[in-house]
Amino acid sequence: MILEIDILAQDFGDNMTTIHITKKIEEQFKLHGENEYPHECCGFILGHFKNKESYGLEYIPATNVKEENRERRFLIDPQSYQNAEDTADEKGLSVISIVHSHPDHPHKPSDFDRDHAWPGFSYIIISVQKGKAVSYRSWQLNQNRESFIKENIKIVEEKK
Amino acid sequence: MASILKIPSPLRRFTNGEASIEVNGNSVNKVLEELFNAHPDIKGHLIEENGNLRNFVNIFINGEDVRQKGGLDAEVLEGSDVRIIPSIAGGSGKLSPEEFIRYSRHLSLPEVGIEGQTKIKSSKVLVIGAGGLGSPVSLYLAAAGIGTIGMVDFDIVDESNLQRQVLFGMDQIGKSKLESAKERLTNLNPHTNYILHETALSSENALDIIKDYDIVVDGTDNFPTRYLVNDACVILNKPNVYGSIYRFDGQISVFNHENGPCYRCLYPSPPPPNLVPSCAEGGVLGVLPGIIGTMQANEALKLILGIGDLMVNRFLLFDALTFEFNELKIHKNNDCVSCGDNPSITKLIDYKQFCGIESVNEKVAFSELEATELQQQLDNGASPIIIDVREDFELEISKIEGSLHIPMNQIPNRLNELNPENDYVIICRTGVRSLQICEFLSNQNFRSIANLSGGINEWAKKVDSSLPVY
Repeated sequence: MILEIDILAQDFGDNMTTIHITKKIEEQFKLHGENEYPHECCGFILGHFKNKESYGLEYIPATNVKEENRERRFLIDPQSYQNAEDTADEKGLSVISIVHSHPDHPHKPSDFDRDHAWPGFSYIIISVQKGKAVSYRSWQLNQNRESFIKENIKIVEEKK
Repeated sequence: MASILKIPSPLRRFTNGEASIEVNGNSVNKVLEELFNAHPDIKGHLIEENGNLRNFVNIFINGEDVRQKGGLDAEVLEGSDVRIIPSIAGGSGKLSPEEFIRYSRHLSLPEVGIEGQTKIKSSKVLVIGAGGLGSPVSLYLAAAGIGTIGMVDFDIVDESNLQRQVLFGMDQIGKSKLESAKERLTNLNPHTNYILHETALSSENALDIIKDYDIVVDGTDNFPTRYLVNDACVILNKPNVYGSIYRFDGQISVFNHENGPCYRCLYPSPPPPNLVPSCAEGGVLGVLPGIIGTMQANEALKLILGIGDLMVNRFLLFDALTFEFNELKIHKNNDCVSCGDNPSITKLIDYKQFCGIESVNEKVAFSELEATELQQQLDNGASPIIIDVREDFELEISKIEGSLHIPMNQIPNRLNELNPENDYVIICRTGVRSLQICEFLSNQNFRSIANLSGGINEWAKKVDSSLPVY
């Protein structure tokens, strides 16, 4: 029942602290990270914002268009972002999260991540060690862009 | 009809949740102004205090980035789809724990440090030629942690390369130079990305290959390619770390950087064809490319780090025999056809023609003779004069009885010993040097010139097995 959201009641407040995702999304991005190993994977989660929380409904894998250093860098084609946003708008959803993997690195955001992040998105980072997704964590950039703040991830059962 | 400005999800909290707004402005600036008037809080997230777009913000008009179309002044036609798009990029840290260990001697140099090592890691260097110079250049640059090393070559590893091309080993004889190089370099540094351009650099492909790199290191062994590299670097505005070697002499400079000269400022035109032999004919002390190549790698690293005094406006001559370094001051030539005030070379030309080297099939003023054909001629009582153009020591290894010996370099000065009306067969080790002499002599209007295909080695294999193949 938790995913029945009243879209009109969206709240884009600054203090979102929890992202709710479905078990399926979790499985999808973990698998994506493992399949792309040793390169970084990246993707979007579409869903809703409500009060200080966000609710993910759908994972969209994106192509890492960076030609070099794909083990250590990702770059999402601006067109895939536009497509993801169009898909979201068609469904009355928003892009709530940008997911990427850190092959053989911890799930902590790097300085590079911070320089390229936006406040308002949930940045989920998956640590893929030797081809296996071992942990992940969601982060939000604070409003002054100085640091990433951890946020809660809640896994919810998908409503049939 | 107005245009639509689309707001990305995280910024919709400043637009009361609206996903897009209608705008009428005819430039990006005006469109943004309308947005800021309607929703003032959004401005600080898009625009820096100095008025520029923040570097993590992209604006696209109908799918095209405005940074390539005049930035904030870019035109917005009616009915356009204008979008604010977050630059979505990330990655797992600047240096990994292994890299901290690997580059620790760099990191403890204040001139390099983490910042410098990160610069090295994000740099892209193109090494043209995987030979004597390309070997030390690529080995040291890979070891130093260059992010991307591109290499251009089309050759295979030959045993005669191993005297100086330390990138290769016995196992790789007969294999692709670039594949062999990648294997060796990956073993040295797996953190570097190696891009192989397995082709001859040409006027058709040079700009396309070079454009993606920050720095070019010229390790070529011939004039046409050297002029080609120079002109392409000038056109694309890339620094060209030049090195060259011949016998015991080496040269190094950094061309086309910060208003310094290019190679053409120094040498507006190439020497007459075939009179300056390549290392294959003239020879080179094996260690010399090691000395010059490591100095090129040194300058490439300094260029990346922005430290020290570069070999710009300077030209170094090194004599390995006397162990003397002579530094010349050189200057940009404002009349230079390539980098001067009014350059006439604005696109790449035919460099073989420019250097007076015409392709062999365009001009057949002399013939190719197989070893067995020569034997038949001799058996039938014909008496062409055989000129062996190899060096003295090579004659000690093998020779054809009755041949006349004139080392190739001496041919131009000893033309008076030859008669243009006679029949000549020119021979060398494998038929390459003799080919050049054939071209030279036919240009001097010699009537009957033949090149012994495959040289004396082919003769030894097909006709006289008592001679060694070397």
